[in-house]
Amino acid sequence: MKRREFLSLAGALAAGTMLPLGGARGATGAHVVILGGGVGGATAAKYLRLMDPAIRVTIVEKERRYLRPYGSSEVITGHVGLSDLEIDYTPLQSKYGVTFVFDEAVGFDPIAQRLALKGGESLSYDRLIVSPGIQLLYDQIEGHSEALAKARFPAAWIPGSQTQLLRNQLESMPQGGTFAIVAPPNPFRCPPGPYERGALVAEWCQRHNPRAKILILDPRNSFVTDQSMMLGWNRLYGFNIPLEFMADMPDDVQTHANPGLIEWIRQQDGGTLISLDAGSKALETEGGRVSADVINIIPPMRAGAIAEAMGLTDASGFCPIDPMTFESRLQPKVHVIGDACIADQMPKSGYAANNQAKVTARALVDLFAGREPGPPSWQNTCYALAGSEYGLFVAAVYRLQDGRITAHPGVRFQSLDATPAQIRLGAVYQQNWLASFTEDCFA
Amino acid sequence: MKTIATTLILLMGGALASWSPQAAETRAPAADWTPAALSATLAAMPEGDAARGQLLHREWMCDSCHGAAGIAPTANWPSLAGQKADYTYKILLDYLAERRNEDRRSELMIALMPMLSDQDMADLAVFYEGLTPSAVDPILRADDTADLAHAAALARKGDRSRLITPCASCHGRHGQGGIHAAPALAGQMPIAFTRTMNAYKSGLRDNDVKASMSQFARKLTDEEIHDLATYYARMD
Repeated sequence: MKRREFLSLAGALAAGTMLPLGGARGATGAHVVILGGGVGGATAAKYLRLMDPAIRVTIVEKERRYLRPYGSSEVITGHVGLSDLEIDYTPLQSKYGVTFVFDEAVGFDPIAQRLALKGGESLSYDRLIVSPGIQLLYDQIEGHSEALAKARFPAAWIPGSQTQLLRNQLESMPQGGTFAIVAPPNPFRCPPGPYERGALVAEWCQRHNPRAKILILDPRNSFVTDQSMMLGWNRLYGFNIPLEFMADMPDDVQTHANPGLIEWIRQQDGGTLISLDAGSKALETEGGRVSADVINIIPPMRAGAIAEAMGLTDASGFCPIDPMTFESRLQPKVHVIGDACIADQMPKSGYAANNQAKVTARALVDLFAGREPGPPSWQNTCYALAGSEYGLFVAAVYRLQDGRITAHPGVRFQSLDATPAQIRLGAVYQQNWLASFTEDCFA
Repeated sequence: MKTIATTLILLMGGALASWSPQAAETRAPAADWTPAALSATLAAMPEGDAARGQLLHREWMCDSCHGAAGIAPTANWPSLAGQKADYTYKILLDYLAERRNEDRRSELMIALMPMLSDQDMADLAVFYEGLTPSAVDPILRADDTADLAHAAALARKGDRSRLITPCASCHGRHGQGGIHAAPALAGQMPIAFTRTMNAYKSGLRDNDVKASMSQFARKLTDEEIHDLATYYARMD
């Protein structure tokens, strides 16, 4: 939806019917409306209700069921099925008294603090939390389009039919075929994700397609968790670690005479994508033409379309916020959390969205009570797998420093001399984290 | 860190050198326990080395949940100080065979076992047996609501009307444990105790020999399990 079209609908608000829960303000407690029932929105709703049951919370969400993006690469390799990603909204409603409106916002009046919904109703709010996630910009790649992604070259970065398509393509890839993953430019959701996906696909191929090749085409020369991930690739898939990443590597690192399953083509080696040649199933890169049997392009991304339509995004495509409260710098009484916001050094991860939701909920409770919100602190952990039994992670605690969200210095990664027990436990922690994190957000 | 890791690999006789998770598959899973099978397994338990067990306790991060001195730092995990070596050895084998797999806690243990040898398990078991148990910190107990007299009666005399054998007949008068790998209960965290009893009661846990524990757990009420948890938590 174009921004102009969206805002023009705000005029229709006066004529719209008011939902009862959107009516009175203040007398029976504040009303918080949340756009988006993903990790950020769901967590904010739950924690607002836990922190102050007098606050009324309404989530506006298009879909009746949520598909969790975190851990969704495991669908591609068949560790879980697409239906295992499904999350039911019932507990948020029955256990925490969160109201769900399954609808879409089509108009927004920031002065009157009202939202118009596609179904014709309108909702007024004391504070609005927008947690729209990301949109993928297929068209920014020459030769690519959303239609091509859905039919032939899936991104599978937002779970759904593209995830299943990529799963099917991996299964039907010819023996000795090439599976190309195109990593997106910064900033993007799930920074260790493309590399974990490469590892999981390599593990699958080891068993089912041992002569296959997994190419990771990258517009970067380094990535988060790079050393610990490359060590895992070396041990499990015969990857030769580039020299500049060899510092502090343990003694068991081997140099393999034949290159293994994974090839990482970084920016300096020509890994940046120029265009897609859909007709001949090939990628034009700065390093030359690459043909592949399966092409998984993770395109550039920016904040979900609704954020742009509401005037919450800047030139970067993401939403500038005041880190104290995550209130938008562009619209009053609107808070943007999760992948859509610009959270300085915090990554775009589910964990970060969950954590930002809690800190924002705390700030809103304080604001409604007439208190100054206290100094915020945030944290993030991303688990990643180099194999289904080989776990690693990046973790950090953040605080406000000179107005910016800044990581506290300290150990952040799985140690390069981690014992096999620590590595094995990393993978168990990842699986247990998936379960307990989902519970924390949605149940 | 690197030095310790290297030392450990040497200690493990190269068992750690493999990054592949195949080790478990080379062992036959234990058959369901019979008294004879348990006796034979315990008779074949290697002689443990407590000093080596202490090193493993640290290197395998057992201490992060079970405490440096075998006293769990939070109520969520069982304490191991003073636990009988034969019981610990049996339980580790049960995890290896996935005979114990009642919750996500079990998954952590199951994941590690294929990397431990029988000797490692014996060394850890002997190390824990040598540690001194202590009564659970009062903050982690719920004494106020427990009927300790009733718990003591169940523990010492049992309940004939329900055919409940006294707990002490297997677990010892002072909760010190007994023969046939009956675990020590003195100083056990009440939450861990209650969780275990409920798992036996519901059938989630069935690694006991011929239902030797679950048959009693099924007869105890929730209140009685709570009473007994508090009773044993106060012992040392």
